[in-house]
Parts: sequence; structure tokens; C-alpha cells
Amino acid sequence: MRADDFAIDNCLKCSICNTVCPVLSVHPQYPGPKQLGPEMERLRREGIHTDSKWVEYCLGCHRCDVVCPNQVPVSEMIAVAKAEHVKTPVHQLRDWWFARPGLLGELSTIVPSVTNFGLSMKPARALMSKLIQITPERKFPAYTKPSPRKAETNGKERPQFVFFPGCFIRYNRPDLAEKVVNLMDRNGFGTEVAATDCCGVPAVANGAADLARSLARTNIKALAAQVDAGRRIVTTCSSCGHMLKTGFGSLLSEDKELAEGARKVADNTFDLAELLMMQSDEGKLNTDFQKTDVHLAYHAPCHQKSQGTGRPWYHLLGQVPGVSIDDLDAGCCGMSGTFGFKEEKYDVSMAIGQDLFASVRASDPQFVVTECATCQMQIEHGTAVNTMHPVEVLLQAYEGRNSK
Amino acid sequence: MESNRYDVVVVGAGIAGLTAAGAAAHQNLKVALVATGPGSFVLGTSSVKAHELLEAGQTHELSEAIAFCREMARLAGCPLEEDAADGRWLPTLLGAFQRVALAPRALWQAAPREGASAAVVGIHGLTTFDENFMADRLNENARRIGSSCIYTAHQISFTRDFGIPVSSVRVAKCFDRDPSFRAEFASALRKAVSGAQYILLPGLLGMNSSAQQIAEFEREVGCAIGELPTLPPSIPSLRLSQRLEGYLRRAGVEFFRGYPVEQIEIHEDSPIRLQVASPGHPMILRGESVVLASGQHSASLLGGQCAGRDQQMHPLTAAGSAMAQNLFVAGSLLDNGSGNSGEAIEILTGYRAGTLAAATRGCYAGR
Amino acid sequence: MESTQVVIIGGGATGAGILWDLSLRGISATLLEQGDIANGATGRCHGLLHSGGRYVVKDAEAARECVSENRIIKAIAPHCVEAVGGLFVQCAEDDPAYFEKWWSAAETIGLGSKRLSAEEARALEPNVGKDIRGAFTSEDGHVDVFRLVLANLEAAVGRGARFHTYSKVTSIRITDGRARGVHYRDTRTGEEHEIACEMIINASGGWAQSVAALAGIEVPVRCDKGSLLVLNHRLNTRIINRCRKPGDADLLVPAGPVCILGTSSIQMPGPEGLTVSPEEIDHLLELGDELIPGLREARLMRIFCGVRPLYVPKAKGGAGGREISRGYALLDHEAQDGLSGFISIVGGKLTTYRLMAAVTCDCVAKKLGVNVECTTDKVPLRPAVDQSTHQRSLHSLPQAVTEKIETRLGQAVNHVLDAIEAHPELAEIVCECEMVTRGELEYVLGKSNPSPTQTIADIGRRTRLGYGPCQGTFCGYKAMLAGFQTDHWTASEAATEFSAYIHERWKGQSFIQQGKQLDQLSLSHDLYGADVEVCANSGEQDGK
Repeated sequence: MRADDFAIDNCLKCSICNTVCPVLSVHPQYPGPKQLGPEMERLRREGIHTDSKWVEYCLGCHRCDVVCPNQVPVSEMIAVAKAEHVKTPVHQLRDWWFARPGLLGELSTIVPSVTNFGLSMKPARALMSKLIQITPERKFPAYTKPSPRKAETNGKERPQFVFFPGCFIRYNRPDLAEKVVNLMDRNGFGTEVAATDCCGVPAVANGAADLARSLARTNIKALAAQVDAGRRIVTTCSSCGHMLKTGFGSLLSEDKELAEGARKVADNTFDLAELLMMQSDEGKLNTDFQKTDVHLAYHAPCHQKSQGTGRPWYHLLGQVPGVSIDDLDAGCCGMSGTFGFKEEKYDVSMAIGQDLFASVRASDPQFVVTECATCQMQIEHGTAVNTMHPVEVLLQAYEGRNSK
Repeated sequence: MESNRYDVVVVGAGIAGLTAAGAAAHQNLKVALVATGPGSFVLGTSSVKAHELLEAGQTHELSEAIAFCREMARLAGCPLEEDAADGRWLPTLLGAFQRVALAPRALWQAAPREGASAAVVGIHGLTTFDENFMADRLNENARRIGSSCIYTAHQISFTRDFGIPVSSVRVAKCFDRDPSFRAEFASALRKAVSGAQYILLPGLLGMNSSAQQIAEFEREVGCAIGELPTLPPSIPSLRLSQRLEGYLRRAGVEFFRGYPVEQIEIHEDSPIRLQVASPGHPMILRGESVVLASGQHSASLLGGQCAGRDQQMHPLTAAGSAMAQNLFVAGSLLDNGSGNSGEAIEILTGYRAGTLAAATRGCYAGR
Repeated sequence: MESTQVVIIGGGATGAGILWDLSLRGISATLLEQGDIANGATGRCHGLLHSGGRYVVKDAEAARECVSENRIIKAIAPHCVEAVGGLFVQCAEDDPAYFEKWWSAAETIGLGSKRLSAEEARALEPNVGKDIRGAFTSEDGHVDVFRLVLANLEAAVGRGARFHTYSKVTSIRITDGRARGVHYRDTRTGEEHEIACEMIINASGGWAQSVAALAGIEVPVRCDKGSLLVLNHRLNTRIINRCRKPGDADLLVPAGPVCILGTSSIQMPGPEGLTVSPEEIDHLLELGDELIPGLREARLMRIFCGVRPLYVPKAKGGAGGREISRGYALLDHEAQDGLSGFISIVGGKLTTYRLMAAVTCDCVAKKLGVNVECTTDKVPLRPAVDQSTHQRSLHSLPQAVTEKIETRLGQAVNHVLDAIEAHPELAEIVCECEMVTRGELEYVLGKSNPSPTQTIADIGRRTRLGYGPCQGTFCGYKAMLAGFQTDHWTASEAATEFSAYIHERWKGQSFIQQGKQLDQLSLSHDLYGADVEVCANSGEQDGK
């Protein structure tokens, strides 16, 4: 029998998951993860129809999973419910696009300047709002044409990694990929940037399970081959990282061959900060930092917390002389990828972020540092503070420049 | 150099684990705590029953441990009150009374007061609590324990929408975040219960509120407030857990939450290696000393081979020898599976194990 | 003094079936049950609606009865039956000769089975063992026993019949060799009552012997205990039987969101004081694991036992529990014991309850000179829910709740919908495992419910509240408060009732050795341990 067949048995109905759910605490009707997860799953197994529109409001933040004393995979069960959920035609259309940032990225980077201009135009946004309920309140991140990479020529004897960039870095911030390679290089690793498909997190979030599975298959084939060739995988987008470490397995558990590949990928995926922390354990971290006087606040994305690696970026950045860094530790930002762009969910998204915004204001940093792109968007939207990716900060510390 | 190497690693965030971590952190060491859930004391009533204290034995050691735990809780902003001699009558879920030796202040204040009138206040829409039921029962049972306290029932409503039915989690979070809600709440209470000496409420006064914030709220209301136990989730218990965790974080304890330790490797002259079942490949933590305080999970980590402990809190093999000099056990795993040993044992063993673990650190080279 | 034509003693399936049958024939009757509905064997079995497959080899007549009654019950009470079908699976260790014998017997009797290869069987039920040899399909189903009994009782009440629960017969009034009435006591209040009647039917199952003794008659009943294990979630879609000579733990029945494994066969001195031993549980789990590998790892949620009341005429005194025929016997005590106005119906099984009732009522009708044939095979117990009611439900309630509440209440759901439309807070889901709303809870507690409830356990039987993983720890408390709020109980009564209730729920979990249920139980003890003690010590009456 599948091990996950019995995961549902672990639920003691203690409701602790409900106490950490960001949506439940701000939305009066949201039933909460206990009901949308294990309770609906139990009814599904009985053959009862259990669709609920509320599954759309689950952020997929995994906080319920992390707090559960018995490791019930609550959000996975809700993801199953999402896959079966029937949406209104307008939402179906909109979410079809949201499930495919890879496709959106490809199209948008044909002529990025045109895309960016179009997406910033008020009339265009008003139309998007009217037709498919994308909130006009938010700025879309700018698309950029990826710059061609030179192939890696030296240091073949060093440990080799393949960097899984994720759609945001690939289509919006390709410079970050370069920075990752640079950081890795400074710490004795060779890195190749992979041209990968979307990791599938937005697909799962938007209920497109089949799409997520097919993305998983493509990614596993490519990444498992890399692992077989002696490379390990590094990520810096925490959602992609979480997916590679867990999601492929649960999406493909029926397929024995791919499940094997998924396992291989999961075993060999490292978050960048996690990797550098491991170097630090061995005393091998490059600590050749220039003094960088700056007051920072670090926000740990939910998908970083769900990787269970502690708070490595906070510790790494704290090692840079001159840096003062607060750990905001103020819960979920509320953006959750595509969630915050949805008009009907915008208010919930902003309500969730209030604690974090208040915490940022209290810390009064020059920059908020976070590795999740959509957390960055939300923080910039909800506070007057600029954000930076930790990779940028660390690289500046190595290179000694004090401006962005 | 930052790393995943620690002087002391505590496994388990129940009251045993938290006390152990506190005791080790008290020695200014680098401490980590790795745990899945919030500990069984949170699921229950976060109080030590009087009979548990008696069973644990009234020793000097136990008093010391409890004093330490109380001090930690006080500094954390969620003080624990104590009556080790007789215990204090506190209300139960069914409106009876039981003798409690140690409990968070908010719950402690729900004890009956002689010659007083207590207002039992329910919230309209909070269907897991009925003020009439509770008041009737408390009146009946107060006579039984020889108390002259009189209970009257009242109900207030909130203008804000907390759902149908009202969710205590939403109310508690709003209490934490929103001063205008606290003002509305206080005003509603004042109006409803004029004349009562104190108020009894289901536990709602914030999931992360400090004793000071609650005292401020009481001042706004104009009288003391005692919290009553409810069906899970217990807000006062979660508050204790959150405050303790916050305090320990500020004291430098590093928390690794969400994934269990799946393996421990003990080596003669080097730190203990803990493998945490984080997603993907496991995460490795190293502790010069390790305290296992995660109940039956800890027992299974020791391969079910733990045959008790010695005076130094080391787990013993079946042959009666200590499994390792830098490995300690605390809490309910010492129960041999017969169920809850009670929070008193958790506190005592947590304190002792934490202190001893801290003292053992530095015995090995190769930090 | 109440007076009626017939008094039925025993509120299990047979008694309830008799009440309905009599009401259809225009014979007035009152049923007395010492506990709540389905207190005996009916309420403590798998709820298997036999296809006949378990009898094809040994008892062709019983098998034929099952085939016919199976069809009838599905037609008259579709809301009580999960007609999921079944499999008879040949495990690696089972005798292949039996498998073939089964097949030819099934074909002869006309079970309508199909032969499946191992792959086909596993495609239907992925959790059966990898090394099964093959399987046969069957028309097995699962019956919600409480719903079935209630359906019969409520339909009968609709035609003027009456029934009283918590009413224990204390004596039978006999004058001039004729039974003329009964005395009974309300077990909750202690009040004594009397009913005058022309006919008494002893349909009390495991208690048939003691009831008959009240009339000075000997009715030998062997009490054969079976223990059943309830697993937290549904491991199978269909009933899974092991295709071999019937033995222990060879049956796994899906029942709503759970599944039930059983059973054993151990002779007991009587129908009460049943307990289960750790060895018995272990034995059942081991066998269950052969049927569904990995079953041992599933969460065992509850253990209960019941007795099969087997009629043992003196000639068969020596046979073992399974050897004695599961057939029934109608005992006309006028003919065999010289006492007129008293008959007993004993033995049998749930699947043939209607047939047993028919045979009994035929006899009663004849004796009372009522010339009406049995029509229970044709008359549905309850009308189906009509479209407009269904739309109304969907409008006010989530889909999952609608499905369940309509199955439970039928058209009576309109009462609940009226209440919810007037007070939207009644849509609150009180028991989340079984989707019981506050509205349904209040209806069940209220006066318009034809089947009154006295205890939280009674509520459980009518709604399945407390049948999920929490075993009443959370929802039972809420139900108690609801009972208090609707003036069903005073605060003191409510607290006592809840303590007694949770104590009973604990008993059902107390023999579980390992697994998550222990943690659940520990949580429950933590919440209520002190209270259960206090109420026990306060000397208040232990209501059941």
C-alpha cells in the first residue's frame, strides 16, 4: 500500500493547523486547512462529492504541514481538492494563464519592452480587471530578454551544480542567475544555468494537476540526467526548491519509474543558502566580505520555512561585517505567487500581509531582503521599502560596492 | 562561523524540551531546538494537576525545576502561577473544579473567590462555549467544594465578523493585532458585567499577548479576567507556547520546526549527529550534547531500547549502562508508554537534562 | 393503561421489521426496547447485506434467501444501503478447490457473480494483496443498521404504530394460559408502565432466553461473540470477502467513511458484559493483514463486540458457533408450550430480517384473524427525496452535507431547511467527520423527530456524530451543549450525560495497543479526565 494512503490516519483533529493558517485568521468564512484537507480527503475516499469554492483560497504556504505535530500532509490533500475543483468560466480562463508562467514568460520576452509597456498601461489593466479579474492594484514585474551565457570553461574538477532558475529569474531577472553563478564560483563550485520548464508550483496552485505532472516529467528527465552526470541541483527560488524537494514525488507517485527519478532529484537539490551553510559547517565558506554598512530586515518566505533548513540567509548575511539584520519573522506576506493578482483575492492578500508590513515599519530597514520574488513584490507594494534578493546582498559584500 | 553545529540540541518542543532549551541557553551556550508540533501540553490544558505534583514527589529538585520554569515563563511574558501545597480549584471543561498546582496566570485567575460574584461571559456565535451551562455548573460545583462564589451568565457580541460560528482563533489574532478591537471588546465587557467582581471568559485574549498586554486589557475592562478551558485549540496554551518560543529565540535558541529527527548517530568522542527528515535530502544538525524530549518519538529514536535513565539523565541500555555521556533524555518518553506522566515530570526532567547537557559541553575536541 | 393488539419485545432489525409489517396489515402494535434502537446484535455487526456468497457452499437455502432479500432491501430501503458490491478473493494460502466449489455453487444458485483474474480484481481494489489468485464479484452491500431500524420504526409510526426505547419488560401477565400484557420500566426514570395486548412477540435476540423466562418458557439461545475492528478510513470501495470456508477476520466492509474488519466467533454465557482481549485483536489484525497487506499499519479507531444469538434446539447442542445454522426459527409457544398469545422469533441474520418479520407476522395475522398478506417486499420504507427539496438543500448547504443529510433524513430534511433558512447559524457543521449540522442536531433532539433521543449516543446512532476519528471528543461536547440549549437536559444532566458518553467512547478505544488512536485518546483523557472522575464520584445517576 502507498505510504501516503495512511497519512490521513495521523490527523488528531487538534486544529493546530487552523491556528497558523494565514487565510483563516483574516477571512471570516474560510473553513481552514483541517476541513479542506484531511476531512475532505476522508469524505472523498467515501465517495462523497466535496467540492468547495474555498479551496481556491488556500495559499499553498505549507504552514499547516509544518506545524502539524503528526506530519499530516494537509496542503497536499487540499491540492488534490484544488485539482478537482470546478471554477467559474472567467476564473478558469484567467487561471489557465496563471498556471503557465513559463508560457507567459516565453511570449512576454519576445519583445519585452512592448510587454512591459502594455502591462503598465492603465486602460490595459482596467480591461484585464473587467474581463478576467486581474487586479489593477498590482504592478507586473518587468520582463527581460535573457542574456546569452558563456559556457563554463574552467574548474571541471570542482563540484558541479546545475542551477534551476525558475520562471521569475529566467524571464524577469536573468541577472540574478549570473549572480548565483558568481557566488557559487567564489565558494568553490562550478555552476551551469539550466534552461528548465516551470517547476509547476503555479500549476498546482491553480488546480492544473495534469499540467503540473507533465512539467514534473520534463523536469525530472532533464534533472535526473544531470544528477547521473555527477551534478547536484541548486535553487534560490524557495518555491522551486520546495517543489523539487517534494512536489515531484507526490505528483508522480503512481509512476514507478518517474518516482525513482523524482527521488533522485529530491535527494540532490539544495537551496543556495542551505548549501553555503553546509560549507560554513565545514569551515569552507568564503568569508572574504567587505564591510557593508547597512541595516537590513530579512523575511523568510513560507516555502523556505517549509524546506526545514532553519534560516540560513539570515545567518549568512549576518556574518557580513557592518550588516545589521533583523529577522522579521512576521508570518506570511500574503502574496503567494499568483494569488495576490486575483481581484477577488486581493483584499485577503493584503490583509494577510499587514503583520509583516507593520514589522517592516518597526524595523525601519534600508532594504528588506527576501529570496522569494512574489514576497518582494508584496513587501514593496505594502510598505515604502525597497527589497533586495539575498544573492545580491551577499555578492555586493564580496565585491565591496555599496549601491544597488 | 555560523553553522549547524550547536553546543546543545534539544529534540521536542513540549514543556520538557522548552525547559531544557531554556536551561541550556541560560548557560550562554549555542542551543538549537528541533521539533514537529507544539508539544502535547498545548493540545491539553497547559497546567500541572495537583495530583501529578504529588506523584512526582515533592523534592527540592522539583521545586528548583519549577522555579526555573516559572522564571522563564515570567521573562517570556506568560507567567505561571503556583500552589504546590494544595493546588488551586480551577474550572474544567464541564464546569466542575479540579485541583491544579501550576497554570498560566490567565487560567489561574479563574479560581473561585470567596464572597465574590463572577460574571461568566460568552460570545454570541462562539458555539463551543455556553455561558449559561458554565455558570449553572460552576454554581452547583462551587457549593460542593465549599465556596461561596456566585456565578452569573452574560453574553456579548462583536460587531466585527469573525465567522459563523465565531472562530476563537480569529478573535485571538484580532486581539493581538488591533487595539480598536481590544477597545470594543473591553467596552462590551464593561457594559455586560457591571457589578461583578471578576470575569470568566473562554480563552480568547490573544495568541501572542504578554501578561502586560492582558493586564492592560483588564484595566480597560475594570476588573480581573480569568480564562476558562475550551475545546482545542486552546488559545491560552498556544499563547504560552508562542511566548516561550519567542523568549527562547531572543535568548539565541535556534528553532528548526516542522520535521522530525529520523536518526541519531552517537560517536564516542565527537558530537552527536542528528538527521532531520526535512524535504528532499535530510538536514544534519550536530550537537555536542543532545537532549531527547519528544515523547514516544524519542523512544523510537533510541530504537525502543531505552530501559530508563540514570541520575545523570542518560538513557540506559537494557544492560543498565548509559548509552552515551553526551546524550540525555527528558519528558514523557520516560513513561514507558503508559501515557502522560504529567507536566511536573516534564518540567523536572527537562530542567535537569538541559542543565546537565549544558555542563557536558566542551568535553570533546573538534567543535 | 396503554392497550394494543401486539407488543413486540426487542428493537433490533427483526422487531422493527415486525412493527412495520404489522402496521401495513392494519394490526396495532407497540414495540418495547430496553436500550436505544438496535441495542443488540443488529447494532453490533458489520452491517453486511449478504449476497449469499458466504453461504453458497455450505447452505444453499440460506444463500437463496440472501439473494432474494438482498434485492428486496435494496429496493425498499435504498437510502440505508451502500450497494457497492463485493469481491470474494482467493488469497495465496486459500484452498483452490474451495474456490472452484464456490464458483459452481454460485452459478447453480444464481448469484450473478463474474469471475475475475487477479489483475482485474486489483484494478477494482488496489489494496488487496499482490499475490491473490483471482476473485469473484458479488452483490454484497453495506447496510447502515441504525438507519435501517429507524426506517422501519418511523415508517410504522407513520401508520399509527408506537415504540418506546429505554423500556425494559419486567414481567409478562399471564392468566388462564394466555399472555395478556406486559409490565415494563422506563430505565431512565424508573417509572413503571403496563400494556394490555392480545399477542406478545419475543424478538429480543440475545435476550430471547431471558424474556421467554419471564413467561416461564425455555428458549435456548447460544450467545456467540464476534469482535469487530473499525479502521479510520476506507481501505476498500467494495466489500471484500475471503473466498474460503468462513472463518475469523475474513471480511472487510466499507461503512461510510470507515471500514470494519471482522470477525471472530467465541461462545459467551450471555449477551452482556462483552470484552475483547489483546490476543483476539492481534489475531484479527494478523488475518486482516493477509487480506489487505499493510492493514496493520492503518489506524484502528474503535473496537466493539456483539453476540450472534444462535438458536440451538436441544439436538444440536454440541455444535460450534459457525456450525449452527444461521437460519431462524419461529416458535409458536401456543403449539409447543401451551401458552397462547406468545411467540418467539429467534436466530437469523440482518439480511433476512424482513423475511423473519414476514413469517412472524403471517403467524400473528392468522392468530388474530387478520386476512392481509405481507407487502413489505414491495412498499418502500421511505419516499425518495424530491427534486425541489434537493435543490433547496443544495442552496442552503455545502454539497457534502446535502448528500449526507438527505440520506439520513429523506424528505424530513425540509424541517431542517426551514430552520436553517430562518436561522442561518444552524448551518454550522458540528460534527465535521460526518457532516452533521447544528440544524440536524436540533431536529434530532427535538419533538418533531419521530424517533426521540435521550442520550448523546442516541444522537450518534441517528446521525453518526462521534463516529469519526475524534470519537466524540469534540462533537460530543458540542452535542451536549446543543442538548442543554434546547432544554433537553439541565446543565447538571448534560454534564453527567457527557461524562457517561465519553466514558463509553473511551471504552471502545481502550483495547487499542498502538497507533494514532492512542494519541487521540490521550488528548481526550487530558481534556475530560478530571471531569469523568468528578461526575463519577458525585454520585449522580449513570444514565446510559
